[in-house]
Amino acid sequence: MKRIKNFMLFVALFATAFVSCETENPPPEKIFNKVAYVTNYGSYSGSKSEISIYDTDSSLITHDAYKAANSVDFTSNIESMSIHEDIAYFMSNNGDKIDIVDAKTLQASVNPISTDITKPRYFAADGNIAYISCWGDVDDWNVMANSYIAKIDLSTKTVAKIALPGGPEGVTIIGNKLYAALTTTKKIAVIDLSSNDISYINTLAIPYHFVVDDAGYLWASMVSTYTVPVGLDSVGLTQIDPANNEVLANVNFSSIGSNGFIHISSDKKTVYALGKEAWPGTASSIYSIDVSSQTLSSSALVSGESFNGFGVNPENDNIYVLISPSATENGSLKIYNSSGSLIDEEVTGISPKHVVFYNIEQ
Amino acid sequence: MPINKFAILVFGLSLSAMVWSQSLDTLITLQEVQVIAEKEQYLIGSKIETLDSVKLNSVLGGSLTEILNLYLPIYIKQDAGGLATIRFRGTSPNHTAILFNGININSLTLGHSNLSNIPIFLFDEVKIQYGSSSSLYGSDAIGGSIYLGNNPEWDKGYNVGVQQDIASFGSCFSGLKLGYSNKKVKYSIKLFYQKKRNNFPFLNTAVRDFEKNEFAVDTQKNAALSNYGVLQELYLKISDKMFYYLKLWYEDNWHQIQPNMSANYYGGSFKEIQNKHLRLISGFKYYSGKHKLTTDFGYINDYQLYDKNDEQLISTNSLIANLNYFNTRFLNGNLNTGVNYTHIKPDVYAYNGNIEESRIDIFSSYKRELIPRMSMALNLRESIVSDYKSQFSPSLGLDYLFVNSSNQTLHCKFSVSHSYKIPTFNDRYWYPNGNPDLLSEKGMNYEFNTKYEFTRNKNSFHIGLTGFLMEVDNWIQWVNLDIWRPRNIKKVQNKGIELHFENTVQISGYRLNSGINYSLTKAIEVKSYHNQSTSTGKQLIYTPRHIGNAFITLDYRKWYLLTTASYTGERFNESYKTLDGYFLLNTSLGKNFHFKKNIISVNFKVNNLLNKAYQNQELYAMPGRNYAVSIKYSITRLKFKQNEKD
Repeated sequence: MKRIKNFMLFVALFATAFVSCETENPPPEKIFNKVAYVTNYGSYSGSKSEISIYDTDSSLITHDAYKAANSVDFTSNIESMSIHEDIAYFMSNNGDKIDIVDAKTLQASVNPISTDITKPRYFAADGNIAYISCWGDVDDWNVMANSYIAKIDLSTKTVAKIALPGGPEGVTIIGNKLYAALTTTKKIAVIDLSSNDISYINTLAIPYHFVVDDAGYLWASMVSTYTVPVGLDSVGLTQIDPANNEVLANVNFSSIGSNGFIHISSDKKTVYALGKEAWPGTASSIYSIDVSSQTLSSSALVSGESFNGFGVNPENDNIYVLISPSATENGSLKIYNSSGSLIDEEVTGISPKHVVFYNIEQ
Repeated sequence: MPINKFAILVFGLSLSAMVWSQSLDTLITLQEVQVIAEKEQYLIGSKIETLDSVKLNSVLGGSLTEILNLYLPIYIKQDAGGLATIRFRGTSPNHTAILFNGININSLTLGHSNLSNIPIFLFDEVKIQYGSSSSLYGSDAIGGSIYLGNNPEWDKGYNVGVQQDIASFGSCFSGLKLGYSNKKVKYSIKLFYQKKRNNFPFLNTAVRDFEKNEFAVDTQKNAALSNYGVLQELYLKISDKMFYYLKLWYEDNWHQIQPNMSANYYGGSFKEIQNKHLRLISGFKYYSGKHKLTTDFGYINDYQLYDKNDEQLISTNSLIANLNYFNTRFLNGNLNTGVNYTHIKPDVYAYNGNIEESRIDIFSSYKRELIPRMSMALNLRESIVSDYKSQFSPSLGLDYLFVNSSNQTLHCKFSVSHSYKIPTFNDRYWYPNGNPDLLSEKGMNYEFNTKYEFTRNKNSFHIGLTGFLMEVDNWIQWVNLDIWRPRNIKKVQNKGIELHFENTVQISGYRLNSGINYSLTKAIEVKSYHNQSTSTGKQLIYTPRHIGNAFITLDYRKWYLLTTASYTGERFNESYKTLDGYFLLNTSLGKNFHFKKNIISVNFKVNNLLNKAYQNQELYAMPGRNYAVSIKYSITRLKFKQNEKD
């Protein structure tokens, strides 16, 4: 019995010592599974979207991740995906809705938001409020008079509309202002989020997407479209000072693709832009723009055919190029390092369009 | 309706009225005018199926879609009503020619026809020719051809037919046929009106309610359609040696574009399309001994309005002139030679400039018996199109009659043919996507057919087996460049076998007619001209390897019972996932009541008897079990006193 008491005392003292030691040590390092979610747009009239997951550590890709998580196909076309506070949002068309899923598991526990959501495009959020560009019912693609920003309370899922004619596409929030690229005009809309007052920044070409550089300046892609053709000397990228919404620089990139996809490096010193050769050329490319010198690279970092979108991994600046040969067959993902050497290639679903990088905590 | 089309319609109707008032007392023996079949004899190595009036009547007020689904092993990609496109032997919808009076009525802008807009009510006979026949019919006839026709009957007096169908989900069909013929004149007019609300219920397996953990119960929206049309045909015997004919077919087709199951529930763009088609064909036929000369003049106007937006008008006008010479004793065989001229002028909001195109086809066909029991047909055709200078498409067919006794025959046939498809106007001129540098699609078709027929008393059966090999090169597909553009991107090889069996037995008042059709099709992309293709080596999407159907009809004392079954096998969707195959069962019971020359037919039909939930096209809902009732009245061979003198 005495032996048992001694043993218990020893255990108690050891445990006390162990606990006291533990409180002095740093918490154990979190383990993340680093993935790239690839949204496959699918075919508008046929097969719909799916999510492919590329594990950036193991270099393995898995497909149909949404169905695997929810036991149902996605069944509409994902325009874009955003992750905000560990919740993933899919903006999709045909049917028109915003799906809300756990960013770690892609599992949905609530129904999509579809009321007052028509042709949703891109997402920006500040705290508990999200702003989604929506094209609305389109009578005239040259005007898109019914487009708007859907302001969503992410707690209650209620939607309020801020009318914004002109077909807003890319959106980003800087300070108390929402910047929205209007795809039928040479203007960027700036919405004061306190008053909903709208002002405009005039641009040389049609704005599409935004990134913010290391100095906090806004970069917008500038393209020419079928409905509003613009001279090749006016397209490329525009740098804007958000403090006064003045245009600081225009960088000409004459072969910028009409979807205006741009991304920024992890240090926010290099902007990457997707280029498409003018018909009858068929080549696609990715060029880089040095933020400090505001100059375009003299040659393409990556070249190929049928680039449909791309992303830049914030961990290592590897470039994930999404290739879509047609709307009736699967596409592919090609991964290049920051100097343009091919690292890996995988098959994706139909029309892969966006890459969203996410670290899943284990 | 544009004024010019209205004027043509009035002209046609006025001409008809003149014919009705003509003197009808001429006693002349007339030669049979077979408008459709004249060229068919040169396809002796090919497989041709005829859907007769009995089969055509079984689809009530249906379209070409329903009749092909019921009786032939051909895949139709379709939704619940508004849109259906054919994929013959694994080819694309642009690779089947739809022929009215020998003239291809495929859309020149889209390149194919919507089979749901072709009503069976207007035709007495539909012939389906498998495999290529560009050597006879020019562009498009790569995978197969479908001929729509009527069999003119002379000296039958007046006839009247009225049909009224009512079916589930707000469907109704009304049809009227009026006709008159004596020994000199034949005239018929057929009119129909069809409407479907298509608001059927279905379990929406594309929509899961995550808060209740169940699929949504839904009702189909925006899938209504409304069609009306008129076909009138006039044949005149001008003299012992000369005939005149005129055919006018006008269609007005409106349908809402059915949303997929997700958009149906969550909302999306609900749109509609209106199509109008005017087809006016007229010509003369001159007979003199072994010689025959025919001329045809045609005008076709296709009009499409998308979602009532007048600024998105798509229209084409075609003028057609044909000259044919036939000789029934040329070098101990039959000869047909001639020239076709077509002038096309599109009026499409998305085309730049003033686009016009001329096409000239020169052709010769020759058929003769090579040795006893063996016939041969050689067809040569050279087509010259504005930007596609030479499209040479020869074909050779052989038919050997192995067995030929009083009650049985066995044919063995072989054919080899070259075919082509001129790129559509949209492919070439749609701004800014069009690609004027496209090459025409080229096909080579080889096939071997056997057909055994046995007849004894009133019993008969026939069985046919076909093997085919086809290659289509320069296959056009829209691909993702800076914008989506059409390119010649692949070579496809299609091969397969087809089985056809039909049997008729009569025992003490009962007549049993049954049949089976089956096809196995392997359609593989064998070569890609697009560096990024991931489809090479795979079966083409929406091309089932297995497709089959069967029917059985039992007739007894004016009663008839028809049951049809069809199986559509698994097929890939665009992302190469497998869509489930499905089996459908339909049945109908009817009775004919005869009162002298009057016939009243009553028919009750159940479609999708097993209430199968299925998708022909991924994510497009199809109706479950549904019902239709049809009442037809007809009176034939009605002759008034003046006619009875004839």
